[in-house]
Amino acid sequence: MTKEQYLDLLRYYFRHAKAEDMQEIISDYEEHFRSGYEQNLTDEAIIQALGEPKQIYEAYLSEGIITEKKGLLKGDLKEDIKDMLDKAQEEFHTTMKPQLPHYWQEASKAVFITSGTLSYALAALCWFITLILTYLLSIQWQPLADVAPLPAVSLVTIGAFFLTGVGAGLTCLFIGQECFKQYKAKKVKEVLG
Amino acid sequence: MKTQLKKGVIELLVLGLLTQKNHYGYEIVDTISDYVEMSEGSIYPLLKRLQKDTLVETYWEESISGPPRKYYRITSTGKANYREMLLEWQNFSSAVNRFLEGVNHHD
Repeated sequence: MTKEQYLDLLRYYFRHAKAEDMQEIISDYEEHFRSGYEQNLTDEAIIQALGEPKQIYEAYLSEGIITEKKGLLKGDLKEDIKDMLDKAQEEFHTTMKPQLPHYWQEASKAVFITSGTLSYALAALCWFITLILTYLLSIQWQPLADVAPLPAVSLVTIGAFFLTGVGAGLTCLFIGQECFKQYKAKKVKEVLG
Repeated sequence: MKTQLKKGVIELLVLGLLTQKNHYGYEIVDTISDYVEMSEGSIYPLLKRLQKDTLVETYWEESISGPPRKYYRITSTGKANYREMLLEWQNFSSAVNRFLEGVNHHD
């Protein structure tokens, strides 16, 4: 744990205290860290000697310096929920928070690989539909005897339709390629550290 | 050791230390933790309570190395309390020692 994480935890435990009380308490511990640094102590050593932030909070409570704000919940249930929240918060500060950039990287990689794959699929779909529709238009397809056939269109129209479809497919393909490039770049960066 | 007893003893030590000289927080923590095993962080709430009970008062003093430091000075009420507590402690500890010596002689 670093000094900042430790002070963050203190701020969390004292979140219901009066602002000026919390200010004073935090500044006392900041001064303690400064004095510790002058003795060439590390964050770890200072924190080890200070003890758990929760214990410190409880010491202030038992000395009657701060009073706990009364909530709606009472008794054991309240204590249980509070303990659970305290634990989650502590875990967030000590384990999750330092890893956040990592999670962020994972998330963006997932976004790139998903959108890349989707783009490729969309490109394939575009071309497939274009080919089929172009063919059906050219033979003036009539699905059933009592349904009107596709209208007769000029060769130029069919050609334009075909090219538009191919162009749309190409666009999707390029988007997909860009996504995969980004994904690979992130992976390489990760491997290189 | 039971924390309640320890808390009382640490209070006695803090007041005793301040009867000799004014100190800033870290000095108090550092000196006392050399003698008594404890969570150093629990000294600050104690100091805050002593201040609230007007046994000690605080003032700021410039330091050579950085921002000003909060110093603690014992008040006259604090000195009177200290003398009383010291006497209580001496009576208590000598009684305990006498008792334990008696127990050990029977071994």
